[in-house]
Order: sequence, then C-alpha cells, then structure tokens
Amino acid sequence: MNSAMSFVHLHVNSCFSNHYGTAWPEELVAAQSDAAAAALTDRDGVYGAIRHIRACQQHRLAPIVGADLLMADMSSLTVLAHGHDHGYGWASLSRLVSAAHRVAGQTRRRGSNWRLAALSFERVKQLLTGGEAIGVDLLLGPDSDVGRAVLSGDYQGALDRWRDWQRLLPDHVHLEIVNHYARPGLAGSVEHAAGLLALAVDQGASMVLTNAVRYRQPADVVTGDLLDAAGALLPLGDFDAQGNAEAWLKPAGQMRQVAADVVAAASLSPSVVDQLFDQTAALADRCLIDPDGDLGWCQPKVPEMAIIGLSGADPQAVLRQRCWSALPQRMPTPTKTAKAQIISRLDNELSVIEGFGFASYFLVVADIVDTIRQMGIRAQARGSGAGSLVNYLLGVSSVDPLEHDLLFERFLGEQRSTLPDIDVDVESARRHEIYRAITKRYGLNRVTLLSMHNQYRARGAVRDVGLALGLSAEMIDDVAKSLWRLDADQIAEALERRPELRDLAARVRHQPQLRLLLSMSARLDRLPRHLSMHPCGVLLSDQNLLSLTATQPSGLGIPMSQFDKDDIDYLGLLKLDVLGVRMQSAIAFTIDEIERHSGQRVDASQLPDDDPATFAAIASGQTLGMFQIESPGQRELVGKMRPDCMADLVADISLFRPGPMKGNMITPYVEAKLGFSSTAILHPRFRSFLADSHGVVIYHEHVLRILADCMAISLAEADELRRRLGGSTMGEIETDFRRRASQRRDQQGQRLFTDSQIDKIWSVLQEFGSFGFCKAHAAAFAATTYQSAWLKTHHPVEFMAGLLEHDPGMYPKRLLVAEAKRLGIAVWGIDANRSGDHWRVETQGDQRGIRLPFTQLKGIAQAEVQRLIAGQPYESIADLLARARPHRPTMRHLAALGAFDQLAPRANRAGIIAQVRLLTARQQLARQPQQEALLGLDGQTLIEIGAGGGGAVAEVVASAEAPTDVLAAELDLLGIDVSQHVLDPWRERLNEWGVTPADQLLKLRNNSSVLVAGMRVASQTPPTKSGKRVVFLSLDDGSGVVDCAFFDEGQRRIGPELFRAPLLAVHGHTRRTGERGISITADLAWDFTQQSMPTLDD
Amino acid sequence: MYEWVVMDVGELIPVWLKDGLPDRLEWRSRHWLVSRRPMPWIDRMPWWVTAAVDGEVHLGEQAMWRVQAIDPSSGDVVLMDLAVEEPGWCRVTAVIE
Repeated sequence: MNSAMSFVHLHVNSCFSNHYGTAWPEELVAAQSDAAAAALTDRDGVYGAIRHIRACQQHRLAPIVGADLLMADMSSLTVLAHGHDHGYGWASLSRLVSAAHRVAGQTRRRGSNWRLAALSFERVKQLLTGGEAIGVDLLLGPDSDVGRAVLSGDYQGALDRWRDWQRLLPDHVHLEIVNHYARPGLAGSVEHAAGLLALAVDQGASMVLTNAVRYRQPADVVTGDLLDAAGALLPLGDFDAQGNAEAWLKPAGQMRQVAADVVAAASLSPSVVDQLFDQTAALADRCLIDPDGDLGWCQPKVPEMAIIGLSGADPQAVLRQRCWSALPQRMPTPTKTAKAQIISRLDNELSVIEGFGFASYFLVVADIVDTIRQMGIRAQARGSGAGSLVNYLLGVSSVDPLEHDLLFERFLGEQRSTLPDIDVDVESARRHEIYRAITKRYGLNRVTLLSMHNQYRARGAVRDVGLALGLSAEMIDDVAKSLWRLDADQIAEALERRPELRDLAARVRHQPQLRLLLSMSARLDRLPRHLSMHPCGVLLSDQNLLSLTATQPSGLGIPMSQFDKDDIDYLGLLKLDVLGVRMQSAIAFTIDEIERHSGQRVDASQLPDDDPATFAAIASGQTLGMFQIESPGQRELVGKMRPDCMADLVADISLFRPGPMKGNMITPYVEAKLGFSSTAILHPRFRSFLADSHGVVIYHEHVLRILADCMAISLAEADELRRRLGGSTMGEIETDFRRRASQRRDQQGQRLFTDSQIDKIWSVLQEFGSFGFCKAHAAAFAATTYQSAWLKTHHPVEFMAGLLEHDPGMYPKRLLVAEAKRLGIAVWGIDANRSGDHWRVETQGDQRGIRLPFTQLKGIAQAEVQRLIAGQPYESIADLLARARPHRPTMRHLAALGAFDQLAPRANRAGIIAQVRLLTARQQLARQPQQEALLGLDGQTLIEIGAGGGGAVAEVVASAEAPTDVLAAELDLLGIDVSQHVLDPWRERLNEWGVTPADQLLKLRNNSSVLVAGMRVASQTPPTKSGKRVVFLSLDDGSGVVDCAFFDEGQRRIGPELFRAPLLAVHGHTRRTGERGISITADLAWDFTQQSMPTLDD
Repeated sequence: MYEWVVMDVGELIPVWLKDGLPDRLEWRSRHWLVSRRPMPWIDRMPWWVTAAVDGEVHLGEQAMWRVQAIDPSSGDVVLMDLAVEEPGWCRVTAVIE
C-alpha cells in the first residue's frame, strides 16, 4: 500500500452503531472507493459486517472488520480482526463481541442509548491469550483508559495503563491518534491528540491515525446531533453536543493536515506524519479479511451428521433410502404413467440435491420438522420448498407437488449455490418451545436465533426529532399520531396528497417549528433504531457457529446472532424460518375443543378436499376468520369467483397480490372460471399446464414452463430467466426469447410458434414481469385456508372459540364475537365459576356457546387469574374475595361485567356492583368498627341501604353504575361488546335516518343511494390497478360487515376522521361485485355519535 | 481543566500571523506577544437555535485559535479564544485565566 498517496480509515462507525452512526456501510464504502481498504468498527457489534464486505467486494476494496467495545470502566476499546488466518481473527473478534454482551450483575445506563459495559481488562485477557495466536489488534484512542488519563493530565496513569496493555498483548496494541479539532481541553482536541502522540513516541509504541468517523460528510453532523439527542433522551442544548463536524471520512490529503497539526502541536519532527501514515497502513495490511478463507464465503455449513444420529453415514445414501421407503405411504396408489413420472421426478431431484452436496441439509430440515411433529405441534412447510417431492416424502411439506403440478426447479435450480430456504409454519403459541427443542437437540454451539434491526419510520422519527428539538409533548404527539404507516421520507408527499393530513399540512405552512420537525424526521428515515429478535428465523451450522457469528441475548435464553436474514447466505449458514402462525394455533385449539366435546379427533390433513358445504361457505363471501381470505378485498374476490375446488383456492390466493392486481389478471380468471368468456389459451402447447388456471398465466411455475417450452431450455434455466424478468436485462431476454422461439420446429420441420404467437406470448410474459406468485407457496397456504373453512363450516362453535383464543386475523376480537352471534352462537361473559384462562366452548342445556375467559379482562394479573381458577367453585362474592383475593379494581371490574351475577342471583347488577364496592371498601375501612357493623355481609344478601346509611355507604351507592352502562364497561374493560352490540344504543337514531343494515344490502340494486353505519373494524389502503390510493373502511353493524371504498373525493370530504372515528355513518352508492358481493362507494362519512346527519348537497 | 472567567468579550482585534499562526495581537489598547504555540480548533453554531425561528438549518463551522499571549511591558499573561473572521482580524470569544 502506498501510504503517501492513500489513507485507510481504520475506525469507522456506520448507522449500525445505533443512535450514533449516520450512514449505511454501503454509503461509507462507496465514499472510500479510492482507498485500498475500508474498515467498519461499529459499537458493540458486527451487525453491518457482511454488508460491508459485500460493498467492499463491489468496489474492489479489501474489507477490514472490527468493533468498538465499551469496557466496564466506561472507557472504550476498538478491536480489529486479523485476516487471512483461516478465520482465527474473525473468531477472536466474534468471541470478544459476544462477551461484551454477556453481563453479570448490573448494567449501567446512559440515557436511552445505554450500552452494555461488560468487558474488563481481565476478561479481555482471558479471551485473547492462551490460544495459538491473538487474532486481533487493539486501538487505544482518546476514549480509552490511556486516552482519558492523558486528557486529565495524569501522565503516569496513562503510562501505567499503556504498559498493562502492552504486557498483555505485546505488538497488538496501538495508540490511536484522533484529531477532531475539538475545543482545547476536550477529547479529540489537537492538544489531546498531541499528548497521546508524545506518549507513543516516548514509549516507542505503535501509533495509528484515524478520524473516528461517524458520518460520511460534514453535513451529516445534523443527523448525528438528532441521534445524540434521541440517545440521551434530552433536547439539543441540554447536553454536550458534538463540538463540530469533523468526524467524517476525510480524504488522504486532509488526513495529512490533521496529522501535521498534531505533530506540530507535540513539537515533533514533521517526519512523524509519515510514520503515522506508515504504521496505519501496516496495521491495515494485517487486518484485511479474506471472505473465502476466513469466513468460507457462501460455503454451506450444515450440522454434523452425528447430531442426527447418522454418524459416519453417507448423507446421500440416507436421503435416497428415506425418500424411496416413504413412497408407498405418501403416494399409495399411482397409475402406471404416474408411477413412471414419480420415479423420474424423484431421481432428478435427488441428483440435483447431490450435485450441490445439500443432502445433509435436507436431512437436517427433515429432522427438525420431525422433532416439531413429535412434540405434537402442527407444522406446515410453506414457500417454494413445497414444490419439492423430496420435501413431501420427508414429511417436511404436506402438499403433493405432482398433484398440484409444482416445480422443483422453482425451489432449487441448477444455478443456486447457497442453501435454499425452507420455511415452516407452526403454531404460534408454541414457537418458543420449538426453538428450545432445536437448541437442545443441536446444542448451543450450533444454534442461534436470527436478529433484525427495527428501523425508524415516520412516527418514531417524529417522536425522537421532536424531543431533540425540544417541542412540546402535545405537538409531537399530535403530529406523530396522524402519521400512519409512513416512511419518514414520504412525509412531505403525504402532506400534499392525503386529505386526512390537510389540517397538519396547513399548520406546517405557517409554523417553522413544524416544518423543521418534519424535514429533520426525514433524515432518520429507515436508520436502524434498535435490535430485536427476528420473528421466526433459526440459524444452524456446524459446531463452529460461534466463531462465525457474534451473539447477544435474545430474552429467550437462546442467543441471537448479530447478523440478519440478508447476511446468512453469504456466511453459508442454514436458516430455517420457523414461523409462528396464529391460524395454526387456532386450528390446533379447535381440534382439541372438538375432541373435548365429542371425543372425536379430526385430522385436518386428511379432510376430503371437495366438500361442497365448505366451498359454499367460501363462495358466500362470509369468510371472516378463514385463513388468507377474510380481508375486505378477498371477501369480494371469493364472492365474485365462487371457488369450488382446491385449484381455485390456490389461484385465489395467488391472484390477490399487488402484481396480478396491477396486471389485471383477476378479471380474465374470474370470467373464464365462471364461463363468461371462453378460455383463449395462449398457445395450444400450453393447454396441459394452464388447465389449472383456466388458461390464465398466474404462477411462476407457468412462466417457467412457457419459457422452457418456447426456448428449448431446462426448467432450471427458465427459473434463472424468470428471476431476471422485469429487470434491467429485459431487452437481452426478449431478443433471446424471440430468436429461440422462432427456431423451434416440430417433427415435420414446421415452426412451433408463429411470429404473431411469439408476440402474444412475449407480451404476456412482459406484463407478468417479475410479479406473479409461486404456486407451491399458494398451494401450501390454500391447504390451511381450506382447513379453516372446513372447520368454520362444520364446527363453528369450536372454531370461533379457537379464533378468539389465538386472534389470528386482521380484525378485532369484538368483530369475531359479532360474527359468532351472527352465526347463532351464544357468547357468554366472564363468570366467576365458569370462566377459565382460555376461551372455552360451553354447553348450557341444549345450547352450545363460547365463554369469555378471565384473561380477557384488561389489567388482570396472571396470578389473579390463577387464584380465581384454583378457588372455583365459589358460593358467594365474599367467598370469592376471601379465597381468590383479587385486587380491588379487578373485583370492581368483574362486578361491572356481570361475572358475579350468578353468585347473587336475586340481586340486580347495580346492587352487586354496590355490594362489591362495599366489600372492597371494607378492607380499607377495617379500622372503623362502626361502619363494619353496618354492613353485616353474608355475601348472598343484598344490603338494604337505609336513609341514614352512613357517609361511606351513600358515597358508594351514589357512584354505582346503572345497568345501562354495562355496554360501556364491556367496551372499556374487555374491548368486546358482549351483552349487546355497540350500535344498539344508537339504533333508534340510525333507523330514523333510514340506515340499511349490512345483511339487507344484497336486496338493493346496483348503484342505489344508501346510508350505512357501524363500528370500524378495518382500515386498508390496498394496491390498486391505477396506483391511486383507495381507502377501504370496513364497518360492522351486528348483522354483518359492510365495506366502504373512499376514492379521492370521498377521502377529501371525510378529512381527518378517515382514520380516526371509530363509529361512522357512511353515505354512498351500492356496487355489486358478484352474486353474493356488494360494497359501498362512499361519498360522505361522519362520526354519527358527534354529529347529526349532514345535508347531502349532491 | 481551565477556569473560565466571564469578561466582556466579543471585540474584533488585529492579529498578526507568522508562518500561518497568530504571532502578535492588539487587545484593549495593549500589544501582546503570543507566547506558546497556538492550538487550532473548530467551533460551530448551534443550528437548532436559529432553526427554531425560521425552520431552516444553517450549518456554520468556525475556525478558532486558542492563544496564550504575554504583555511584555507588564508581564501579564492571557489565554484567549480567537475566531478567525477576516484576514488580519479575529474576534475574541473567550478569555481564560
């Protein structure tokens, strides 16, 4: 490296140093493209390391990776990993970083931006010495213990600390000279740097120059200030902000000046500048990471076979044997042709898998799925993995890929060299159990969880920037609340366009503070904010996992890797998405409840897949609670399409996505399906594989087959092309496609595809772009959709209880209760003697209904619930109070909700509430005997309260709630209107206005003027064909759900209430969407509790 | 580290340079000779103060010198921060004892 011409920044923090760094690793690397190497040294982690290495590869720079670690004495240490040592240095760095997160005892906090301070000198000594090498170099800079001693003028202290480090790691510690031109007397001043430099020269210590970079360019200092304020939880001006904007990636020339000023201040010879540059370059050379040699870049690392009991076995032989022996059971009675097809498919899959050396990977995945199933937990592979016959035979997937015409090549082509993704949906409620079981089986040295960085979006950015700018809490809150699901850099555009933000937009024009708030918030857009556990990722590798990834605690007792999902392929780690799906839990719950009541166990995977009642229920559009088809748009689509077989469900799920919607694929499908238009198949040769979609190209699998047939290429090659569709190489693909298709000939030498056919096929492919959907994925989803629909149709009580228990969908629980009632299922409130800690199916006489659990009560403690259940049955309220000892508010809430009604059958609700108030007040009044005597409670008797009943008693009664307030109590304490519908108190007014109930809408003609009302249950802005925003509000009025679409004009008229008011009346026109479907195109909406009906002027 | 003494500062004073560094200056009608190597440093305006008024962010960095000077006639020593304003002129921003 020519040190005179170039300079390597060895100390660089990216935005992965949360609340500190301001730039992404990629931006930082791009800005250093004329250097020889680029380093990344984030705080307490290597979160950005893989992105950094990838960026370095792209810019042909050598990567350097390290970390800034906080020591227990709050000094800091910068660690750089050695490279080209078969990963030894990387492993040392990983271990140090992991250790920095392992804290015994207390942690210290500094504002919200607190960092763990776990490492001591002794711990560093333990971790780095005693091995065959050290593996890392350490930088002792201005914030190190040595640097701090220099700053405070304690030269002897600095010398002692330096000698300690030097003795510990001879030749591996360097004094780091940082000159930020800070105010003299502060860290980072010329004076401070000169002091450290003098020490280095005096002691003959190695010294390196860095700029302790935290932003790419000076202007980014503002972002740094905002992050500092967010970290300190203080407004700017209330803490010591950065002194200037010097901590940026200065080019080599400026770094020479930086060094020269320090050297001059230390009264040293100018040649020391060259020494600094030389030693910095020499250290950089020692720390260049070799991704292949050090990390096994992209090389799969799979657990050793011994772990799954196959020590010494040949994984390929085992895989073959397991697949063949599963054939008779998984595919019992194939026809002769089918048999030949199965055999050739299996052979092909196995040879591709063997070609990649992935056999052990498949065995591990199968082993994990087996482990999950042995725990009695529902597991269902999803994604392209369901396209593999091997996965089906191993039991990983439960969808027969031949039956659904799913392609293996979509999952694992010939080009792929990284491990394919296999995702498994499991019961969400038991997800953590699974993580623990996997960890137990494979060992803590082979398993970690995956992490992810939560990023700033509009709301969080506004809150943190508002705090930084010292704005009032009300102002911040007001703005933050109105920014709904926005990225921070979309705020300006949203203000201009969205009617519900027009009040805010007007204020922004007149208030500079607000303007500043919003423009500053955009600076934080998408910056990582804090690390959390990925919702489903589990990482596995061989026993060297912890040498490859630094970890930190996840809160589950299993460490999580500092790397995220995008890093995993490059490290060659095996990632299994074990995704907790609430619907899987709801289905498991439903099946248990059915068994509890009927003694019969339903096997959801063995249901007949052509049940007419189930399909009739789906086609009715009353699909609330059915997996994937309950959203307003889906209810409309299934009502229109009227699916009557599994293939339709698979298509439905695939069509309801942004791509197919924009590509207008829905209408042709529905029309062909319903026989309105004859199926114009794209080309006769495609008839066989387009039959499953009535001739419409929907699936990735279709595109693969079309490309393969037209171009005479393999399906694997076709998948590579498909991935590039819609990209920058579209022109090349088209040329190639046209040339090859026109060359295709049949046996007579006739062209297979005419020019006009090629035009037509290409236009479909082009439109399809990279959209469309993987059929394997949809087929796996559809299986669950069907199961949920079947259960809702045949076991509605148990199924609705399951939904209420696990809350799998998009709607609030109160709507599920309304739906249950609509189905004629009784829903009973909390009862002291009957409720438990789960929603339960209950039989009363010949009526079966659903009982609310104690746990639904807001604010009730788990311990209270357990005591309440343990003490059942209770004879009286006093008995319950004495034995279950709920807290006073819990007692009062239970009383208000009627949970004690059965314990005092002769009393009315108001009386019971009064009694409970007395009982609970009694504990307070215990020291007042005259009051106690007055009560004379036996728990069953309602107290007679006379005229002179005493001050405390009168007060209690005066505040007792009237029975008419029961609904309010239910909404407040349960979030569910159990005893009556939330609209009931308003019915009279609504009837006067002529509001049409949801279940009467189908009687209206298309485009009738109509008034509807209800409680908001969903607000959505789905993708549309035109790209214009349409807001869908779904309202529930007790008779059903009505979906109202607000287009531009409608949005403008409703304004800020659009996303705010819970109870709405909507005026509009009916729009028939099919035989069973109707929705409202809204032109006016208002909060009917606040405002009487506005005059309709048009 | 230093005791800050609040004095009436802010005046613009003539400063003579030698090899690019402050060498002599005139302050409060006295001539001062720089007696230690001046330390360069960089200060900045707190952008959030002005931004609160007009909603705009103005970034301004200011080149500074920390200077120790002696009045040879009296032997008085002064330590001061000088903001470089225009050639030959600096503004005294702090005087430190």
